Amino acid sequence: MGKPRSQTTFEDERYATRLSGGARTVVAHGATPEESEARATRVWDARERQIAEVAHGKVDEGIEIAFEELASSWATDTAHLSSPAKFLEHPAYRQIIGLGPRVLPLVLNDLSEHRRFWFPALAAITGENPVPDDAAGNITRMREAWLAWGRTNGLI
Amino acid sequence: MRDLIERLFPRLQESLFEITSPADPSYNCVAWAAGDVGRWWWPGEAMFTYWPADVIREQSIASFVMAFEMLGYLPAVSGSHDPQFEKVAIFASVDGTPTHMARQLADGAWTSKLGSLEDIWHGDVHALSGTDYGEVVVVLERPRRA
Repeated sequence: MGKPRSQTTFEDERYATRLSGGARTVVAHGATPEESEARATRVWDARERQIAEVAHGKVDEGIEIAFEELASSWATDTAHLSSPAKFLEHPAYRQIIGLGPRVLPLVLNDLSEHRRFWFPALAAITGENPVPDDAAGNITRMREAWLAWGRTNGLI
Repeated sequence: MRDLIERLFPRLQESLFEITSPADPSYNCVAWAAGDVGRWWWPGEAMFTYWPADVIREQSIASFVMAFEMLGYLPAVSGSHDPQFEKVAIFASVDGTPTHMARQLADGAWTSKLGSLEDIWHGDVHALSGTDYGEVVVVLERPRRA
């Protein structure tokens, strides 16, 4: 990903720097513009590094087993529900998010195969949202956007 | 799958119901009640769901009523069958959080999409009441189109 666009503003008695590029947005705060910019850049670089480390790598077998168990538990308990808030509340869903970027290939493959509602988890893990605003709620387009994002980042 | 649905909604064991579609995660109960099989309707986080643009995105009965008022529905006195009107029922948990919607068919029976699972035909709207969906709290109606 190229250099992100940077915008720093002063709000609530502190500086806020917003970096945005592609599907990613990072916001960080500081007492000075330099501090907020430096913090935002560190978060940006960390996200890029975390995803790059996972890309093209083999997923740890333990993570794979854990993911399958957690995903199955979550799907069994919530497949008849409609509220994404209920999905997010489920302990297994939260544990999957807690596994961090290393679970991304598994989540994306499951999204491809089963079309489960992984969008909040993907956004939480990556800090990104590749879904166009007008596609929100359109599962087909949301899925396509995230799978394209996954291919671009070497995760699937 | 029928066994699973009966386990999730025990009252269906005492009521007529049929599975009427394959499982499909493309749409949910609210979308199905609204006649939309292409989107996941829910208020709340705008990144993940569809909700009518001018309706407040909060998980409240008022928000659901407003969304369906946009489709021509108004509050109904009851969910009893009136062939002149198409009715939808809003379910909510005891704390008032909406959980589910069902739509009444022309013959007076009801149809529900169960999350990302199947659509079902059910004779009694209250057959889905219970732990997960709570109870029917509001029924809305609009003149049934020919």
